[in-house]
Amino acid sequence: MTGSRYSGTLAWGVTWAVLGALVLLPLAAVTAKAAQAGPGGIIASIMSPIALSALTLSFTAALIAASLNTVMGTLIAWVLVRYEFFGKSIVNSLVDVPFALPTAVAGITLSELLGPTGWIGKLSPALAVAYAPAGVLVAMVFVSLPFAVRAVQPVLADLEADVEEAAAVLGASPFQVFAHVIVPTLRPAMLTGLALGFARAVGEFGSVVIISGNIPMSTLTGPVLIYQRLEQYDTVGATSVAVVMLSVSLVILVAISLLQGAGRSHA
Amino acid sequence: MRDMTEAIPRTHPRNGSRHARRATIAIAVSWILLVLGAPLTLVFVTAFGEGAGAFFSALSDSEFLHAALLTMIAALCAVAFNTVFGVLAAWTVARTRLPGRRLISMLLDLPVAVSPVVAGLMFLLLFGRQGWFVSVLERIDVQIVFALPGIVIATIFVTMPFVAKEVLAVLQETGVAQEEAAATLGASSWQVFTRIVVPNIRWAVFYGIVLTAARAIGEFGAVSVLSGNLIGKTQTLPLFIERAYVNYETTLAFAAAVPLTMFALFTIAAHKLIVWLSARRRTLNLAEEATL
Amino acid sequence: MSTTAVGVTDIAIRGVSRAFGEFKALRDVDLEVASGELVALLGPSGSGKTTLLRIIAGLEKQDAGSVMIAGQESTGLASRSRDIGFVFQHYALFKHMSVRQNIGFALKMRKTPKARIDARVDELISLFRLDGLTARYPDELSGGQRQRVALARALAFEPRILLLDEPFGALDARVRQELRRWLRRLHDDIGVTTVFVTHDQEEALEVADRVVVMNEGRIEQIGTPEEVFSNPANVFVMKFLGNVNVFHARVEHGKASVGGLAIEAPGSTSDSARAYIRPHEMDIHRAGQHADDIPATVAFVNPVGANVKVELLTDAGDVVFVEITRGSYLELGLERDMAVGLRPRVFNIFDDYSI
Repeated sequence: MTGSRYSGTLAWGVTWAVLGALVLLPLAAVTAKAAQAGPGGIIASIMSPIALSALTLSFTAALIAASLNTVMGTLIAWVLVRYEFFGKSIVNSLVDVPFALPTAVAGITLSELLGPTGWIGKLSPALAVAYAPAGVLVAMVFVSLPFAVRAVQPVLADLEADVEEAAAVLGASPFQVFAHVIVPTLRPAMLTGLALGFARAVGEFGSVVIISGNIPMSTLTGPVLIYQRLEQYDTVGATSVAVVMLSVSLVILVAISLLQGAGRSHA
Repeated sequence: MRDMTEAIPRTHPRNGSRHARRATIAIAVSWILLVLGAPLTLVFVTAFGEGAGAFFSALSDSEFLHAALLTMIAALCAVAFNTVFGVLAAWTVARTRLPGRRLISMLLDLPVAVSPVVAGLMFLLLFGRQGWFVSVLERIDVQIVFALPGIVIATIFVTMPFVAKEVLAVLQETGVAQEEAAATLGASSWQVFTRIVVPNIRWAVFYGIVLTAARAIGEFGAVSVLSGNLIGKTQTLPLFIERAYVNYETTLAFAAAVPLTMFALFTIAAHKLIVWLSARRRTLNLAEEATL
Repeated sequence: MSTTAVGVTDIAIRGVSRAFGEFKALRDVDLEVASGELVALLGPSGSGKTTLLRIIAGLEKQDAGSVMIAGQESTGLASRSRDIGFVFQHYALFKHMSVRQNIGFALKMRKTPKARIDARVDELISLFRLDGLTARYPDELSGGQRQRVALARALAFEPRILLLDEPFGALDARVRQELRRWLRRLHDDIGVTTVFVTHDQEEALEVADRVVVMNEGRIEQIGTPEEVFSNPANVFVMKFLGNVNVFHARVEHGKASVGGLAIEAPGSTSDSARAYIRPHEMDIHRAGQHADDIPATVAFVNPVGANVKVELLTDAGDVVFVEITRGSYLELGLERDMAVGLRPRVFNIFDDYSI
């Protein structure tokens, strides 16, 4: 676009101004606050038993939720791409519900379902996981499910039939086709879905704060701890936990960006 | 040239036996119904559990109405701001050769990758009582934290990527050929934008707006931190729902959740509609080609 | 088919039909391919040639009929048990595997010891001139290189039969020419029974031992390139295998005549028929040289190439294409708007007057 040099520069300028004010400046504020507290202060703050337990719960539960969803999400994507069945388009639409549904609504709904008198909770005490660490996991599974499905689905749909046919003619059994051809091709997409789902799950607040009961050393997660520390005007304590979570988010963003680069070249 | 038979969907010889197929479908569908279908149904069942009367009286609660109004204002601001910003950012990344485009693209992902509570904290550090801008704000007597501007800023931040990402995808897919063609045919850059680019991206903008609105009205974490959750003042709809639920006003909480859930379903339906429309246009084009 | 060469029959297809919904891709097809033969399935889009190839490979199921491979009924047999190498139109290389891994895939699936795989892959790499490319991935190869990798991969496990779907379709014209001859030589060297699909008549006629001309799900003719080109079984084959001019022939006393040339036309009941004449099977004479020449005017001359291509308009109003030698072009001194006479050296008439 030769004629749009000035409009291009203008768009570039506005974009950077907004990103600067709304993303870079806030990042700088966190960094400055963290620097002010110093590495010692941050480490002391996140090594407190409550913070340590909250971060451990957040990362473990998010990893379990994202892994579970990578398996189930790939299976769901497979079914949606390869098979025809009654109600398929409704199932396909349902996948987007956690994207669109406010997390507070998800929180009250899951608490109701999994409470001792809920549809699922009343079936067995083992299933009444509201206000237990497993409840946190359920909320994370709910909010991160679409990422896995939607990351894998388009790649699976674009998988040329002839590549699988080639493997079959060359002597691969259906399982070998899956293991040697389909899985390697889907791997970058599955990892992207895993990373996105993990990022979403680990940072989840709305549904978790409602379903978990926020019991320190048990169901209290990282984001909820940040919130509580802010309520107690412990800005340094909140920032310390936030820095950990923010670093993880940034690492994940870079990883996804690299994965997508890899997806374009060899898979 | 490809054989005509290739246009017809092939039976995948790799789909395995009928039983394996049925079992796979059953597992996938059960999982979806359990994890997603059950909660969705529960919203409506609980909201109307005490009859339609209780539902409608809940919705005429003045605190609810105030919260709904506040949520709508915040969502409208976020939509207006991020539509303009999103188109500009997408344009910058897809159509200029200016530096930092990859970084823009990555920074755009940050608001969805970062916990909303962390987002709230970041703005608190800027505008809060000990924040960087506290003296400036005091001098001009503007309150951001625990007031409407804080809610709006939080909402803008968390919804920042949606229009940009949708439009970026379409701009990258369509390429520059049409725009260059228009330029060679004598269109000014403004004409290229209004006559070529806007028609191409309008559905992406629309869907981006729908996503922005859906995310905006549901925003909880960042708004929790920045709004102070003052009932009748800075309490948004999601905060109202949480408060009602925590106070054992279950029917009220679920009644308030119904409009939010309806909007979520509308978002999904709008997406399906757009996908369906573009698929139909493509099929019509193919049918036309086939008859030529 | 009675035209099958002597020797072992590797592929025997009997009464095979296949429909996709309303579309009948194959209608009652019979075909035999002898061991070591190189056969081309030639036809336009939608003629069923690719479907037939895919049915032989077991990638598609026929609705009716049987496919025997090496004397064994193979209906219902999975592709991987058919001892067939298949080269896909767009090669279907595994993008996440190197050239070496692609070529070794079939042996790996058969749990061949690693040393044997390596030895065989090395052998193929030198046979297919892929040295130096073994560590590359498919995106890092040219079209011709991908094609050779696809062929090497298909031949790695020494299949009895090699099937190729439009093997040269995705290549540019020059590479295509080269690979065509190379495929012919390769076939002569290793002698694997080969069937390939093409829509390009030149390709089929140049490479194959036998050509199977297909149209609308049926086999129109099977024969050597010479047979199908010189003695086309019907109008479709004649038209598909090259340019052709159509004239009205008069039919009298069992003979059909065009421009002074008469041939036997047994069994024709009408008093007129269509005569089909290839551009190189006509002569151009000076106007008035023979009384029964077809009078025509030169409309356009393309003197570039070994033969001179002339477009003429007959006095009856038909457009006719003729190819003559450079010598006769110079001798006649052809130019635009010159009046000339046309005379066929040979022509075909067919029973199927309706087409």
